[in-house]
Amino acid sequence: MTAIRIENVTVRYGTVTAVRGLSLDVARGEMLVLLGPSGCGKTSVMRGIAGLETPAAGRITLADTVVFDAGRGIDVPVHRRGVGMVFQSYAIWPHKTVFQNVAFPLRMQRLPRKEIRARVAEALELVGLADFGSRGVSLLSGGQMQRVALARSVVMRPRVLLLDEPLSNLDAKLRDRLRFELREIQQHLGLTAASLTGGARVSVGIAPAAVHLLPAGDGAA
Amino acid sequence: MTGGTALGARAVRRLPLWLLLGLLGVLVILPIGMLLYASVLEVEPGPGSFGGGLTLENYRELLTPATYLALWNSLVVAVGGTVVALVLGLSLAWLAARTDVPARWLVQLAGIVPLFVSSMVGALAWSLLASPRQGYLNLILRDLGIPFTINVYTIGGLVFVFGIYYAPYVFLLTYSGLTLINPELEEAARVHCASDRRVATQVTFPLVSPALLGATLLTFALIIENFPVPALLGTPSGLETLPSLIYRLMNLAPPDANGAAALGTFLLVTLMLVVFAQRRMLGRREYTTVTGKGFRPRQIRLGRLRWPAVAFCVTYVVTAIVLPFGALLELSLRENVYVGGAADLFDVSAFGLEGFQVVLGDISFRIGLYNSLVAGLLAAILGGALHFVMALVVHRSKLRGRNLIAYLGMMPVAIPAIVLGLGFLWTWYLLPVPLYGTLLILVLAYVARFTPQSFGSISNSFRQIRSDLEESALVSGAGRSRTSLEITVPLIRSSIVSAMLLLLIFSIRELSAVIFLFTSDTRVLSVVIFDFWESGVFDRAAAVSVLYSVVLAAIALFSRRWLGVRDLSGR
Amino acid sequence: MSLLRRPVREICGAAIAGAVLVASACSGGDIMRGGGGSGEEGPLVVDGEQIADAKLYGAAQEEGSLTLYTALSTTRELAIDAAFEKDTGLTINMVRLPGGRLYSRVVSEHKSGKLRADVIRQTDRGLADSYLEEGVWQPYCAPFLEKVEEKLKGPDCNFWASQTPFYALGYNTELVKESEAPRTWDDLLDPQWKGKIGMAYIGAGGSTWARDLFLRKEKGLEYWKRLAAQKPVITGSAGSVTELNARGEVPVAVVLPGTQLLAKDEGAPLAVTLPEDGLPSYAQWLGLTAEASNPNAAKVFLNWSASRTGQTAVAAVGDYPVRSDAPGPKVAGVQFPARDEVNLIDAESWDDYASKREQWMDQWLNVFGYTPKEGEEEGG
Repeated sequence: MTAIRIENVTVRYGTVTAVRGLSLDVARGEMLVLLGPSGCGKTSVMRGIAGLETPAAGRITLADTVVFDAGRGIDVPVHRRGVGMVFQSYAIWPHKTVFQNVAFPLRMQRLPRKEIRARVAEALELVGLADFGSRGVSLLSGGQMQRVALARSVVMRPRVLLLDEPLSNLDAKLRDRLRFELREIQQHLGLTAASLTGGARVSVGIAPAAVHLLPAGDGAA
Repeated sequence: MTGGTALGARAVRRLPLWLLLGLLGVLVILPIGMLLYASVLEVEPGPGSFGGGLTLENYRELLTPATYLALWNSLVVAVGGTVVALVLGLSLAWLAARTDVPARWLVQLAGIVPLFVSSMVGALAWSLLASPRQGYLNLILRDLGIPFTINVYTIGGLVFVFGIYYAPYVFLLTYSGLTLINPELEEAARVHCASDRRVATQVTFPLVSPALLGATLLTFALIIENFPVPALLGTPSGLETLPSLIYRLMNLAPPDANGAAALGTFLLVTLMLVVFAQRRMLGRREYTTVTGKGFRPRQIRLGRLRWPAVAFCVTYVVTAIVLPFGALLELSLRENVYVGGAADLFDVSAFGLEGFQVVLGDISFRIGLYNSLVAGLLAAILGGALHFVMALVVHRSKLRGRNLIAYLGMMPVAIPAIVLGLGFLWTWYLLPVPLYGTLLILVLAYVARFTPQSFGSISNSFRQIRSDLEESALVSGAGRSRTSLEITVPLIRSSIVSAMLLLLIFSIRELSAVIFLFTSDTRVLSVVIFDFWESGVFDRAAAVSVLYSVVLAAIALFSRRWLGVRDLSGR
Repeated sequence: MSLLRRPVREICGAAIAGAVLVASACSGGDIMRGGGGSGEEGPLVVDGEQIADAKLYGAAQEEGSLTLYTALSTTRELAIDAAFEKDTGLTINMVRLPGGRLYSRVVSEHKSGKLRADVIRQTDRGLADSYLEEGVWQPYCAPFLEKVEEKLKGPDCNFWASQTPFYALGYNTELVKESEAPRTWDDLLDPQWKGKIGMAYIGAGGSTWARDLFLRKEKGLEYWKRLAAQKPVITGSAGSVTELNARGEVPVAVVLPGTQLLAKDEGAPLAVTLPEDGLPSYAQWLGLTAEASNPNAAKVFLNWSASRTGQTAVAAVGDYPVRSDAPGPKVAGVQFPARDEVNLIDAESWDDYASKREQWMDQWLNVFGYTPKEGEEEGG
């Protein structure tokens, strides 16, 4: 059973080719780690899966649904792909409380208020921020912000969870702890995840499957 | 999904772009097109007379001594006014930003002067102060036995008035540059044994020179397109500039509209060259050394020069604000407009509030105030919405053609206001929408005129929001418009509010853009003052000017916390 | 768009208050009105003259108001309109613009079929004639027109002059003794007035052109040059001249006596002399528009304007009435001689008024320094 299937995807920015003809499969419940130096197209692949980037060619299938196919003109907009994503900068909205941040995806699904409350509480519990709901976000530490971002992306029960260098902004000790927590949550929820990271070392603890990308210009991939 | 619906979806996605391009076309391109068209027509454009023969005669007729003289005056006044404004503005900015001058608030007051003293009010006040025979200052000089007359109805007078009322623009544009210089750059020079003066001339000013160059060309452009000052101060001595000549041609009976259009085209091209030069020169010189980090710039000790520096600042504030408002109050409070000598000026028994009572009860004042506020608010609301959507499309969409929107949005910088007004007049003769004679045409003119300022400031704040804040909303299942509403708008709310307040203030202050567009029932305050002045009711013009400035000052004070003025005065 | 359109009526309504003084001064006679509150039909008779028969007046009252486009100065127009409103109970929506701008507005609105004016009052016979060519006017022969001189009437009752304002000399009584005030146009050339004369710019309207045409024709080009050499202070409008004169910025000035004396009435130290060597005058042309949407109220206004009471209102703002049996202007207690006792020069009736206009205006601009001085060869 494949949760993510990428076939022959090419991403271009103007005349620069960031990713050339990439293909890969990720089975359900697996975690894929994309590795490689900066500028090799990791982020482009991830943004292509999320729908934030439009590849120039290729096909992307998420849980048996084709969300992008350059040949057939299919391009499901980003907000209908059901993908959860943790950004490198966490992208926590500064004008909303912790609760409002996490509840946002559920509100977009027009769930009843009661259910929203229950699921947000559950998600915050999961990331260890059970009592933080009513707080503003400006006083949170880096680690706490990262947990809020994680709670926000899993609360919607996404088909696929994308993690964009989620640990790079944290100090080494915190990084190690969160890495295992992340893996735990992913397995607990049975999520398919794709993570990317700049250094090779990170993958050791968490990655059953790792793909190492080389810059497109080198003729690799 | 079939190819057909995909195409349809693409058309729908591109719809906002087409709508914006259409709107900007009507607001910016069409007026310029109509101006160019009118300038080669044989007859005045009007409903039903857009045909007619084409001719270059209008341009040939421009080649007269009157045009050359007006052009010469425009250039002299703009160069002179710019130099004065630069010297004043830069000195004030330097004192406020880099020295230990006492009474810093006084210097910073200069930064908000232009928000509530329009150049028209300034010119009106200075015509009271320094008209050659009965100007209040001249009366005082004469009574003191000083054989010297200040005559503001001269080239020098125009240069002076432009200089003091445009210095604040130079101040605002260079102040932040001066405070943001990395002090290490200056310290490096000091370590190498440079004196304070050499540091200033060899390091500091070269570093702010891009900002200075920008300020120079902007001030030059603002002065050369200014209409009220030459209209008020040039007329008595027959001194004309290009904008006042355009106005005169339009007021001939019958008007020489085609000649005005040709002259307007000429002024437009001149201004476009200046703006183009500014962009070119600024484009090449980056602010690499001026960063946004919160440095604490080293303050230069003025020592014995402290008090002369304060005196300089006080003189500026007195010249630009205190004396002019004193003069306007003097005339509005006097029961008899005739002043025999300096002693009469201070004879309190001659004062009364009757002038203000008359004006407050005067229907033209009330209509003007109502129209100004309504048109200003509408311009703020419609303009704020339009400029936000423009910035949204430019910065957050990947639609092809979005750069064209940014370009069109900045274009009015190079369109003289009086020329924009002419273009608007003819545009709405042409379009089958009966907008002429309504307040809405004024509102549209305001929105078009101030698009660069308002769109520019919203654009800046877009650049400051990290795009992942919006992308994470998209990923969370929110559509484009939902994302704008829930995430983008709240994040840049204060910058939208500040753009709207700027639109409000600038609109209420504006005269030139609407001087051809108003009708009796759509007069705004600036027009009421100009009409009172033009029909010779100076005491009412003065009283309305005072009230008008009070309204603007009230809005400016209320707006301080959004306009970044606090940043200046809070330091 | 109704939200954006303030009713003009309000302007006039409130202006009545300011103009009551003038209004009460000019309609001393009895008013007999039909219709009105009683619902009874009847003619409108003021001062012994029937201004409208029962049918016309009834129809006018149905309409209630009329729209007037005018180039007359605001203060004078409002005072006249207030007198009309008091006499007739009808209201006027006034739109006031300077002559040139009024003209282009009328023509463009007319061409697009959207002319809102029922009645137009405009200076400059040339402009009135071109309205005729464009089909702006609708012929209407108001009663009492037989009492108006032929030259003050356009062809076929299309338009006629409601009044003839004129230029005279004014001075500031604080600065100039009555005995020293200039009494003739030539007195202005006295060296003592150098730099002390105020006058409106030639292009301010049909009136200023009439003034300078008169000086050019009667006194010659040399007079222009000598006047220019006196370095007069030039203003954008006739009204501003009075203002400068009142403040003393210019001790003497070329003024419209009506405007000057209305300012004197408000306490300004001003006076007027009527130069013995001629008073350049011009007409305010009045007519009914072809597209009038309130034709009956408009006709009542035209009838009233030619009536004794209407002509008295004109005199009360300092302009000469056009009827031979009307008195001279009387403002602020100053009574001018009757029309036939002063030397009114109708500059507009000269052919040169139209034919020399462009050429001589350019010359004026040159002589008065708006354009660089040309070579001295012309000076001779």
